[in-house]
Amino acid sequence: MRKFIALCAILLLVASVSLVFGGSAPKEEAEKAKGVGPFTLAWVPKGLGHPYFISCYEGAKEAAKEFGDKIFEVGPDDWSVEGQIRVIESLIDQKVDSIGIAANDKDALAPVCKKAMEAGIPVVAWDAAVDQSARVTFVNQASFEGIGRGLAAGMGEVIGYEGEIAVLSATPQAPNQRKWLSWVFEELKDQKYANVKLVDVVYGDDMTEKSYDKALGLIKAYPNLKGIIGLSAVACPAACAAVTDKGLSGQLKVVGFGIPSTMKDYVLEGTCQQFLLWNTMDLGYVAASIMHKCCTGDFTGKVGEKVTLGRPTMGEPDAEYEVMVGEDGDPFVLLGPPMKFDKSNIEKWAAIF
Amino acid sequence: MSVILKSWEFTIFSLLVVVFIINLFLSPDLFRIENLFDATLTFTEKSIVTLPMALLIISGVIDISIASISAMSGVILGVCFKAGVAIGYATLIGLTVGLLAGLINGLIITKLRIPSIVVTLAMMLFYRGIGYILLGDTAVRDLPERFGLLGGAYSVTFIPIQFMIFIVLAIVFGLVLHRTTFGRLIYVVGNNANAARYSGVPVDRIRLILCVVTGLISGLSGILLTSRIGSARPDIAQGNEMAVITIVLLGGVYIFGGRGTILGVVIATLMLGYVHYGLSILNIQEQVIRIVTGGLLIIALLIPTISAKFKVREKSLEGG
Repeated sequence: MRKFIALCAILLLVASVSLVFGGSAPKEEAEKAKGVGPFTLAWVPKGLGHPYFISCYEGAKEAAKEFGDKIFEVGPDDWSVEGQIRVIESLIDQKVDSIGIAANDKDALAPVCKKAMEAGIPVVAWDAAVDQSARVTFVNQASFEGIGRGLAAGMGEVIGYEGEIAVLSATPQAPNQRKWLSWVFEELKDQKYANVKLVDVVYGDDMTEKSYDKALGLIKAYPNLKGIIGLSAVACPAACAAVTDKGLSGQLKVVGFGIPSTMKDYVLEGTCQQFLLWNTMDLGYVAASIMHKCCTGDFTGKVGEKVTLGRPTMGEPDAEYEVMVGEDGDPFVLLGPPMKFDKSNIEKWAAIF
Repeated sequence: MSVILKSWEFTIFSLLVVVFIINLFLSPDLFRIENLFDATLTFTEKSIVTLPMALLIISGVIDISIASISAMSGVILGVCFKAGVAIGYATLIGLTVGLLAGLINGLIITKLRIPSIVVTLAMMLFYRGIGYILLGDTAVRDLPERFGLLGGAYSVTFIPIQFMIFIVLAIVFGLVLHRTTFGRLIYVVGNNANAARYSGVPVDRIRLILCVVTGLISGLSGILLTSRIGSARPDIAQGNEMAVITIVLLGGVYIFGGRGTILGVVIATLMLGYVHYGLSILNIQEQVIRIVTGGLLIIALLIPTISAKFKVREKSLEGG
């Protein structure tokens, strides 16, 4: 029994220590008047250490510097939902002024983001949204239509609008893959693609080895194949590797998605003529600028609301963004058309991410 | 008094006080009682599993499938709810799944006499796999709001329901371990299973019961976690088994069985929880937090070894 009396005593002691030292602090003191900076912005990527997210943060830092705000990056090292929840709980306790998050799960992060919003901390999602009830807005990096049409157009351009092409996708169930693919089909209906024939769509499950094998399969099955569209950042370099290994570099052309540093060699040797990705630094810049404007009260996220940034971005040369409504009714801010990478700019970007 | 001062519980309790003081200095206005209780939300799910795990390790068995059981229970709760089962019953089914998983572990360990670490290593993969087969990459969303209260709501003003559950369980487990014959037998089994067996102690039955309880509480942990994140997913609780074992060992439970107290485990839970909380409100990167955790554990394991070298071997066993 002594142990239990000791246990109770300890719990009481812990409680009283915190009451005496911590509890005495006035509750509302820490709350800052809205609208007056500088603000503390918390930047939460899906995880730490990936070049994609590092370059997004670079853009965010640029925006924070412009406004004189303090920004810091904090994220889970295991890229997990629970890790992000833990991080946001601690950000709420710290009373940061705004949270920018690339959510690891749309719904699982919603309760904690709602809690942040209720505590008066505006949440801005970027790269990957949280549920619309738990955020002010979502900075969407690219529309499905822009990507789908962009890839088909790029393919048409590099093969001279003539010949057989195929698509190497990730999985048939993934919603983004399905939507991109349907816009590729839509674009190919145009008259200028009359001589382009889409012969096959294969799936590599977003695994490098399987994607590579599927690409080899395409090369074998269609000797007249002129081009492969790699529909993910895994599929595209895998297709390039297969084409290079078969010695078809330059004859069989690849377009798709990719990270500049992993695609650099394929672009320079001519296997991949061009590939798309959004401008990650612009993504960070736009999201962090909107975070600041949420703090000052200049931005509320209503549909049709316009927001002007400090510098032009690739997507919006006039630096003005407008809140739009997506297919599913979620309001968002669109970054702009995807960025095209080719021989002319690959070396510069490969050095960045 | 000198016994108390030398005890392991006192050592880590002192550490806990140090952690509090450091936290107070580093972030005084954040270290408030509401925040302190709020912070328990991020570690209570793990904390409740430390209790049965302590008993299990004291009895000379270990279960490393607990995190997978948590995930499986949460997933099956979600799947049942999606299939139209009322959320109350779905929760019961989730708990039952945890209990059954523990029973299977226990039966294989005690009937086939395979080392528990091997059995539960296999079951860790097995149970996690079931979760993934049922849900794949998807998640069950739109669980009812009142289910969400379980993991995130507060009972008495600012004390989370989860934390109340932990306190109640800690008292129950403490009473069982330190105040009942069953509790004493757990130490006997852990100290020398063969000797216990020859003197008529039902070794296998005791271990089986502990395995079942561990499974049940792991299931409860998974349900609380599912409630807190508001969706059932197969990838939750990753790595919880190591976190739980870390806390148990830090709490002074001897890895080969026979020694340890619930009090020590409770203090270790709070200490590690607040070390993490203190570091994360300073925005210290998670990699660094891991290093700190590992460092604390290795110190915890070294202290008894080193002090034993300087001391004449003590006759009495602690905690029993």
